[in-house]
Amino acid sequence: MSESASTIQFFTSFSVNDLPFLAQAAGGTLLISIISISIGSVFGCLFGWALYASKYARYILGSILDIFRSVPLIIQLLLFFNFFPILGIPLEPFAAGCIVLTVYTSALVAQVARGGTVYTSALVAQVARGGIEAVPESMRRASRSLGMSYFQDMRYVVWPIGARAMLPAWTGVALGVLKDSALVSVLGYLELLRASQILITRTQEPFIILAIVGAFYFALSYPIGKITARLEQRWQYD
Amino acid sequence: MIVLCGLAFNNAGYLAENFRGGFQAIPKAQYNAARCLGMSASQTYLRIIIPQVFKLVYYPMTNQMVWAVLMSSLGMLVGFRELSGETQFLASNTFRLFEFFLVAAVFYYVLVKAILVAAHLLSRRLFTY
Repeated sequence: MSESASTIQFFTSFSVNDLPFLAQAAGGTLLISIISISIGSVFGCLFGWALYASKYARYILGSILDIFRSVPLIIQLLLFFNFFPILGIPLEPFAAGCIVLTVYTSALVAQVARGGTVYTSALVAQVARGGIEAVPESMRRASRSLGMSYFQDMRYVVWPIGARAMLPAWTGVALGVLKDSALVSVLGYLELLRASQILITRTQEPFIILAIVGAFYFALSYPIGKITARLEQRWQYD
Repeated sequence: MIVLCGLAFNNAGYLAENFRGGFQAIPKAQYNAARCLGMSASQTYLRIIIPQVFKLVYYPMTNQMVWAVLMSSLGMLVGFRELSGETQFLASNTFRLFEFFLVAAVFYYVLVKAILVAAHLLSRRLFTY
């Protein structure tokens, strides 16, 4: 007893009291991914429509979005985070992470919404083309013939069908972004991976902590998969 | 080594899904027809099923390859010296992170584009029929 009292304890082992800390960090992950997925999806749908509708947009916007898809996310994050201090505007890790993840999500969703070139899996690529291209040309011509304007056609004919067609691919993107949000930890934003690293430094028990963090990620992504599977079922054509 | 293991297993999961889709897309009747014509099971797979599956999974596989290249940048986090890890090492000498990572980003972009163009050219040679 006296010996353990005299030596200084550098590492304390993992305890139940650390779980609220991890839960708080999971909240951070959830917050940043919800913000970037929701804003990114809206912009992604708009971009996808622009890519489909205009030739100029296809060249200019398409090549810009292509850059965001061909450069690793971690490099994008570091570039963006280190760019603003050069201008003299310090940026918080959370803001930088949000912006980069949003742009990244919109680039991916734009590809999904435009349809055609998404190959999530061989079967999906064969069976369903996502987004606008899922709506047959004849259907759109019919709606225009019935006196609908271009935007009415987009809103009442293309959107309901296209959204259903792109749902599976969109789910894949959303789950990917949720997991990719772990990379924001590089900038110093407190989310699950960062919290786990802090705890590992204190406890020196990487395996159990990473297992718990994995369970947290599973708990976050499993409901998304379940909910979208339910939606898919309910939105089936009769 | 750790990076290799992680990437390999992660890729294996996604690729398995791709191949499952590819095999499901081939009608069962083709297998039966080949067996009726007197081919053995291994002959059927080698000559009838696999070529078709390969054609189906070619583009998803290319995408997966690009994805693996992008994900290899995460080796930086565990201290592996690949493109981004090396960049971080060099950048930490000068603290000019933006310039170094900009160059790295250009490298990645060129690499990915090269892979995609090569895959496209190869697909034109392979899938002529």
